Amino acid sequence: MMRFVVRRAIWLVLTLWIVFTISFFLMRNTKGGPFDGERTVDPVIKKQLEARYHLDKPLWDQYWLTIGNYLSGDFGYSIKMPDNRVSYFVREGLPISATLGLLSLSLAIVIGVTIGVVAALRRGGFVDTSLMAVATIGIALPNFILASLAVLLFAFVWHWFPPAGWGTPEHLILPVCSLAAPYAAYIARLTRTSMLEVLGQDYLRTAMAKGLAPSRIVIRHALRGALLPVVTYLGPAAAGILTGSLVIEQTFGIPGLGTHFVKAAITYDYTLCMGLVLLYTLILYTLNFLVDLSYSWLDPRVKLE
Amino acid sequence: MGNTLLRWWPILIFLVGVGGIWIWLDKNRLPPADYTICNNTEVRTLDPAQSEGVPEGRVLWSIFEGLYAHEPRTLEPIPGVAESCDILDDGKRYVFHLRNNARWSDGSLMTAGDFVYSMRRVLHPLTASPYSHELWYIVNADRYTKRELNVDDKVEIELSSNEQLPTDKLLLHKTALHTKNKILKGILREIRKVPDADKKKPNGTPEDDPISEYIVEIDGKPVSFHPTKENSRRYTSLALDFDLVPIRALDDHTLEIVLKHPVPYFLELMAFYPYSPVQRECVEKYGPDWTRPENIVCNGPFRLQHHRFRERIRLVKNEHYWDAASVKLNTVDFLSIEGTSTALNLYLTGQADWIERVPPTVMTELKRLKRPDYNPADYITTSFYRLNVTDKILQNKKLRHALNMAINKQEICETIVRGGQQPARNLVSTVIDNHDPALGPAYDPVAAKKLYEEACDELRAAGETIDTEHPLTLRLQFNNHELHSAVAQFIQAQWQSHLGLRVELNELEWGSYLKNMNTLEYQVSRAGWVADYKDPYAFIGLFAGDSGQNNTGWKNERYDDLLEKIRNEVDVAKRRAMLHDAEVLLMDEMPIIPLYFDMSTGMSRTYVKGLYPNYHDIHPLKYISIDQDEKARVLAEELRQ
Repeated sequence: MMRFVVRRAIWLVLTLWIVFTISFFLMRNTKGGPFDGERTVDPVIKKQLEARYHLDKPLWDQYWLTIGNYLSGDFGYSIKMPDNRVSYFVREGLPISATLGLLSLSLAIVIGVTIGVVAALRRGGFVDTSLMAVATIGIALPNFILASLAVLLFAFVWHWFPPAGWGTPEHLILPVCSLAAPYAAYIARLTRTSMLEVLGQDYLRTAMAKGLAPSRIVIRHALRGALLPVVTYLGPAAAGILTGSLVIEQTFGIPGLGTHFVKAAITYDYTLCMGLVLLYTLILYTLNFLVDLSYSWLDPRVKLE
Repeated sequence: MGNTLLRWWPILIFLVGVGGIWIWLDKNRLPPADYTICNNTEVRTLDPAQSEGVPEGRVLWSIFEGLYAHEPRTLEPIPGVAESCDILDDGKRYVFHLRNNARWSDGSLMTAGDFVYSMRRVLHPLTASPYSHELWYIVNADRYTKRELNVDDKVEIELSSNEQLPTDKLLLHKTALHTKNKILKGILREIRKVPDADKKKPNGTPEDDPISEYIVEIDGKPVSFHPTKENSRRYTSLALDFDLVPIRALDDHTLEIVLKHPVPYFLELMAFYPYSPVQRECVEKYGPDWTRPENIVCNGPFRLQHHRFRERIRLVKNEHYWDAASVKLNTVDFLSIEGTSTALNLYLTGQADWIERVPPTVMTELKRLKRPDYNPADYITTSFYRLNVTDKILQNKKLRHALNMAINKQEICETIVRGGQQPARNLVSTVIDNHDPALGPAYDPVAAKKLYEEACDELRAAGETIDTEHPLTLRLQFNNHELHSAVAQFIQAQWQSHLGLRVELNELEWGSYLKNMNTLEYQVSRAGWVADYKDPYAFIGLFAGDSGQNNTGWKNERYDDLLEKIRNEVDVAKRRAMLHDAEVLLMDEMPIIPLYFDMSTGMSRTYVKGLYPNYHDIHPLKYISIDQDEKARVLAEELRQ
C-alpha cells in the first residue's frame, strides 16, 4: 500500500513536469502572442511588456526561470489581467468549480446508480424499458442543448430559477442538473448491465438460499460487486465533468475555473494558462489515484501492487 | 434504525453536502443592486493606465473622474475635476483650474500634482500603457515614453531603492516611479553600443546588445549606466528629464499642459478613462494589488466594493465625490457575461437592466415587436476589409476598385447584420457630422466586371497566368465569429459570380488573425475600427504610412503630407477641406473596402431614466436613476406573460 502511494507520488511529479514542458513549448510556438492586439502596440512598449514577463529572453532561459519560480511557489501575475496573481484566480474559481463538479458528480452517481439498480431488478418490464430509453436520450443529448432547454422551461416558462448567474442557491440547480444528466444516464446503463451480471452469480444464489432479506442482498452483496465498473468510470467522468463544465459555466455565466482556462488559452495568457493546466493535471491525477485506491476497498480481490 | 441510516449513506452524504453548500451560498447572498448591467467580458484590469477595452471603460468612468467628463446625451466634454479651462496660444496651451472640493474616496483633497503623477505614469516607459500615444500630442511626451535619447539631452535616472536587485526584478513596473526611488539628473554625453557575446553575426563578430551603455554627466563627472556591465551603475529607468515634458502643476489647483500642435479634441481626450487620476500613495503602498476592492482609492461618483472574476463588480456610491448630491443610484452591478444570449436571458427575466448588444438572430423579432426598450443608435464604428497592397495581385489598383464595386453592401446590411446598419462608401463614420465624406464608387457589378477584365490584362502582361484553368484566387481572412463568417461567405459569392474570381475563406482565431494582419501575411482581411474621439482624424489617421494600425502596406507620400498639415492647421474650414481631400485620396487608392457603418444594438429598460442613446454607447452612471413604480409594473407585466 505504502509503496503504491509513494510510486504514484513520484509519477505525479514526473507527469506534472512532462505536462509543463509540453505545454510550455506548445504555447510559445503558436502563432501570435499575448501582446498582439487590434491596436498595434508600439514596438518600444511591446519590448518593455515582454521584459516584464521575461518573454524577451531565450526560450530555454524562460523555461528554467519559470520552473524555478514554480518550485518556489510563485505562479506570477496573469499577463492579460495584470492586476491579479494566478493564485487569485484559483482561490476564487476553484471553490465554485469544485462545488459545481462535486455536486454534479454526486448527483450523477446517486441518480444513476438508483435508476440502474431499479432497472436491473425489473429487467424487461415497462419500468426498465422506459428508464433505459430516458438514459439513452440523456447520453445522446449534448449538455449545452440540455442547458438551453432547461433555461427555456425553468426560467422562461415557469420562472422557477434564474437563467444565469451565481451567488444564491437557486443559481446552482439548473447548471448542476444539466451537467449531471449525461453522466447519470451513462452510470445508470453501466450499473444496470453489471448488476444483471452480478445477480446471476453463485455467491448471490448462496446468499438468497441462506434466506437473507432481498434488500440486504441487493445493497450489501450485489451492488458492491456491481459498482466496480461504475467506479472505473468515475475517473473519466470526473475529467469529463471538469472539462464539460466549461460549456455549462459559459451558458450559465458561472465564474468558475473553466471560463478562465478557455480564455487564458485563446488570449495567450501564458502564466494563467500554465497555472491552470498544472492544476487540472493535479486534480485529474488525484481523482484517478482515488479511484484506484477504492478498487481494493470495493473488491478485495484487487491488489494494488 | 442505525442500520437503515447506514444503508443510505451515499444519499445522506449527498444531502448533507447540498445542504451545506445551500446554507453557505445563502449566507453570502448579496442584496440585489439598484441597477445591473451586463458588461460583456471580464475587465482586464482596473488600473486606468493599463486599460484599453470597452468593459474596462464602463467601470473606470464610474469610479474615476478625469479633468473632463461626458455630457450624457451628446458626449460633449464637460468639466469634471477641472472646473474650467483656458485654451491659449492658438490651442496649444491648456490651463486647467481644478475644483477646490474634489476629493479622493479616502477623503483627502485632490491636487494638480495628482494629475501630473497620473499622466506621467501613463507616459512612463515601464508602465507600457496601451494609450500613452494619445498623450504624445504633448511636447516631448513621445520621446519620454519611447526613450528616444540623443547626446546632450537632459536625462533623469531612477535608481531603485535597492540597487542590488537583479535586473529581472528591476524591470517590474511596481518599482518604477516610486517616491522612495532616488532620482539622478544629468546630461547624456555618450551612448555606447555593448557587444552581446552570446549572439554572433554571420561574419563572427558579436551582435550589439539591445541595451546600450549610457554615459551621463552628473555634477560635472561622467557616470556609466548599464544593467549588467561591471563598473556601471544599475537603474530602474533612464529616460528624458520629465521637466522637459510640459505637464506642470502651477499651484495646487492649476495644471498646465503644452501641446506640439493644436488638437481640436484634446478636452475629449481629457475625459478619456486611461487618463483618470490615480492616487500615488495607494499605488505605491500596494503595488500591482492596488486595484483590489480593499485597497483602491478612487475619485468618481462610485467606488469599488466587491469584485469576483468573471462574475460581478459591485460599485457603491462614493460619499466623498464632489457632486455626490446628484448621484441617484446607491449600488450598481456590472455582470461579466460574454454570451449575448445569456445576457438577453438575464435581461428578459428582469435580472439585468441594460445589455450591450442582442444576438443578430433576434433583431428582426425585436423590431417587429416594436419594443420601446430596443433603440439601436449610430455607433462610431466602420466595418471594412483591408487589402494588402504589397501583394503581387492586389497591388493592382483596378482590381481593388473592381472588388469594391462588386459588393452589394445594402444587401449585407439588410440580410446579414440586420441591426439597421448603413452601407458605407467611405471610411469616416457618419456619426462624425463635421466631415464632408468622400464617397467611393457605388455598387455596379457590370462596371466592376469591366475593371476586373482590365486588371487581369494588366496582371497577365506582368507575367501572371490567368485563364479558365487558373482563375485569379484571393484568400480572405477573418476572425472566428458567426457574423464575420456570414459576411465573408456573402462577399465570396458576390466576387465569384460578378467577377469570376475564386475566393478561399480563411477563418482564424483572434491571435493568428491579428498576427497575419500585423505582418501583412494576408490578401484580404476583415477589419473594424471604433474611433476613440469624435473627429475625422480618428479614422483618417489610421492609414498614415507609419501608423501601427495601417496594416495594408499602403504608404502614400501625398497622404502623409496632408496628415502633417491637418495636424498643424488651426483654421477649422481649411482643416475640414484637407480631411476631405485625404479621404478622397484614400478612396481613390482603395487600400480598404468600406462595408458598413455599425450600430449599437443594446437594450435598456424603460424604467431606467437619464440614459440616452449616443454614438459611443457611453452612459455615465452619475445621471442614471430608476423609476421604481414603473419597474415594478413592467416586470410584473412581462413575467406574467
